[in-house]
Amino acid sequence: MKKLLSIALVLVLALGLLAGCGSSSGSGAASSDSAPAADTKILYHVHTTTPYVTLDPSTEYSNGMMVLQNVYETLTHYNPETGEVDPMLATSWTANEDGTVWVFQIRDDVDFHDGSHLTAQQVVNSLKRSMDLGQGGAYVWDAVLEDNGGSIEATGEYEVTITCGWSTAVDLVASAAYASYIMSDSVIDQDVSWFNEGHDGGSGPYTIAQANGDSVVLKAFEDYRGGWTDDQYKNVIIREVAESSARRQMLETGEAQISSDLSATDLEALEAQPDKVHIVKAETFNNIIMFINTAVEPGSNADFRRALAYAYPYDEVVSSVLNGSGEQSIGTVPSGLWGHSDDVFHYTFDMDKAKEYLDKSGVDTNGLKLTVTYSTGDDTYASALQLYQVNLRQLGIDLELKSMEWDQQWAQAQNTDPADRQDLFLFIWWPDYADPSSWFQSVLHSEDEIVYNLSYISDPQLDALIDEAVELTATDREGAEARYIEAQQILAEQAYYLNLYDQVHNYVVSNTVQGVAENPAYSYTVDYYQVTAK
Amino acid sequence: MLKYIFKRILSSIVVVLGVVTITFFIARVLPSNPEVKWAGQRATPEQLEAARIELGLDKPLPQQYLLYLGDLLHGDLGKSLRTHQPVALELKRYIPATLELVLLAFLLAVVIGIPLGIYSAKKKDRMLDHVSRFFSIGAVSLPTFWVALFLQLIFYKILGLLPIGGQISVEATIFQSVPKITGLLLLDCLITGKFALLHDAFLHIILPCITISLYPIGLVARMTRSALLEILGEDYITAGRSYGLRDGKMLWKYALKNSLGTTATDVALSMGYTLTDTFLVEAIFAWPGIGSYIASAVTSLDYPAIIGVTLFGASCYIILNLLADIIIASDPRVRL
Repeated sequence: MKKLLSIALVLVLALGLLAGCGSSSGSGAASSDSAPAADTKILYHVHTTTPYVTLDPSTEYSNGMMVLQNVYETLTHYNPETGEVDPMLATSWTANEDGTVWVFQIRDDVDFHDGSHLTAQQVVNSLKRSMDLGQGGAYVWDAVLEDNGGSIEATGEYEVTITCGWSTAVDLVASAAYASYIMSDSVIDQDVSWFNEGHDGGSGPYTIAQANGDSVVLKAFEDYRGGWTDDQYKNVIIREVAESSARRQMLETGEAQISSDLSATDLEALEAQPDKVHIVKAETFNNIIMFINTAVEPGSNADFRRALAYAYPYDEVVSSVLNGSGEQSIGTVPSGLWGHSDDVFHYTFDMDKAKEYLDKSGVDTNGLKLTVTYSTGDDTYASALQLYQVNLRQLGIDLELKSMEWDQQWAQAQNTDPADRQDLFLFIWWPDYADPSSWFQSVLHSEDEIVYNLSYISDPQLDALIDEAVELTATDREGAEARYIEAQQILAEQAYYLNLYDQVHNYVVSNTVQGVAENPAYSYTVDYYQVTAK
Repeated sequence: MLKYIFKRILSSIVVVLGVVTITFFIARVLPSNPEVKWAGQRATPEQLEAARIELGLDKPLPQQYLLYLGDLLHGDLGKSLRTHQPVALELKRYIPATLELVLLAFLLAVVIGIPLGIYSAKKKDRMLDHVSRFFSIGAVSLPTFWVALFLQLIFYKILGLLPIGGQISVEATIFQSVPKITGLLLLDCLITGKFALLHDAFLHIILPCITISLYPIGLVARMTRSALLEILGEDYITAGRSYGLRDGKMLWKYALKNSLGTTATDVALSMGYTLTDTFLVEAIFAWPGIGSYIASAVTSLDYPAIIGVTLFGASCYIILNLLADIIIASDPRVRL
């Protein structure tokens, strides 16, 4: 009996294996037990990291944006073509003269995925939830907090009035990728675990069908007010495949349709296959800067800083390290965002000038050693810094490269003794919504207690310009822009820090789909509703 | 015997406590700011202060340790600094996938490794023995990541027979729900009769399972062979043969039985090794197990998650060791 059972078991397993190998087409897709839904087209997006940390629309402050932007909606939405925000859940808005009271008219034709109808009260409840939880990007609503003299209330069935403690461009804040999502009342009291189980309360074109930690499945919200056409994708999979080579193979076999962040080798190999895939370049608002410790010698010497700026191999890094994933920064505000100007002074690689400024600075380079810290695990940073290291050696400066975790670098940069801080600090910054104030207020304005001003800039003229620009953003955008440009000119001339490059994301997209694009205000987010089958 | 097991369990508890203590203090003396990890890279000073209080970082380290131990007794491993989720809940989510992989690899190691070792010993210095030894040495020596990438290249890219990674095609799960009973996907699909999903999951587990099982197969085969050869040289085997007992009977009934104690110990310990080895393989095959979780936890110094996984790994080793000891102790020749 035992023998019989064993033989039967082995036979079943062997048959299973044979059947499996025989019928698989390499995609690994299984035939379904039940009849599939009417639309079985699947859009498969493989990403280098997990598609979310949490799926809580109020507190998520990480990759989750790539999911949440397709599931939830905000009052306004940034339009990269016009550089302005467009209406989304709001139809129109007005502000008082000093930009402290904003009245938004809300759409009356919006239904949430749970069937409930959007009213002004749900907008109020959603934004209050973000403010009350106070996590992630909630600080963008600080001006509306009661403690700061602000308020938010429904002043009509479809009208919301937002009062701010100080002049604020609420139309821009409302388009933020974090903490600005509007959700159904039914989910207001749910906690992060509930959302992470794959539930949602949005009104966007997709609902979350599954959340598995490493993958998310989105399904079409059939009643979406924009409607659906046959060539759109009603099923979307976003999945982490950490290995670049694995993502490349999935694109080559046609299993996956979208991916990004491939290694230079894999990207090059895919570029050579125009019959299968095409590359979509997406400019971003992410830029890389290098802080200089200006609190102590030699970083406190402006001519020494200029020498450092001229010695950086901008072109070489862009052409041989970034391989199309970055462009040299001109000014601090990235290209494409208001406040950017191509006329702002910027440094180019020039060793003669570097030597000239080094001599002028009077800094003795004999035995001079500088330390630069950068984020662990980023080969691009390391490769770029190695090129810089060679150039600085020509100036007699020894550059030590230290790869560290972000929080360790930050802690060192905040050390109470300026001499113990790193000399140089490679840093990435991006705005939470399309407003240059993110750099100027957080990174460049003087601080009583060090938070993000890690070049320790303390320049009253600069502070005054920044304060004016922030104040004018809500009421006089052109005036604000002029001040930001002037501030960038001062920053560049003083070389308080180095503007290295603006990131470019390279998406590799299957030729079977079209419409893949990334909005720079919503990094790594693909608007799947706009993607169609060819 | 019972007294022995009881004593071993008690000493195991002490070891676990030691592991927790050492991991806790090592994780906490490393230069790191847990509140920054909790509140995020761009946290405001207010958010950082709130995080310090929420995480209990405002209390002295010994007090934090005692609080942690207290929570641990209630099965609370704290919350991950990265995901803000209870570590126990996350381990519960990721462990079954890893366990499924390891158990299957372990099964393969036994089913293939032991017979290979037996036949190798039986046909000592003959062609089959040489082939078997060559395979065993290769299986033990080949770097896991190389095997993984090689298998992906052959079976996914070139032959197109098997999927490149994942536990199941996400496409397959769109149109039907994935059963969640035991957490072991193959078993759950079998129990609920979802044969299409079972078939899909089976295809997905083949490559990672082969990759992981190679080492224990090689190890078990070599250990079985050497243990068996030693016993086959014993006087009582020669005596049995001289009495005219059949070779097969001598091998299977008398020799193998006596060599299984050593093999069982090796198998149990190699399973512990396999468990940690799987972390790398999981990353390559995008297997949704504990591997990628621990990788993220380590690189971001997420200490509650690190302690949680270490505790899990250590517990597995301890339990397997305990099992091995009990197997050895059940041999009447061993004096406790």
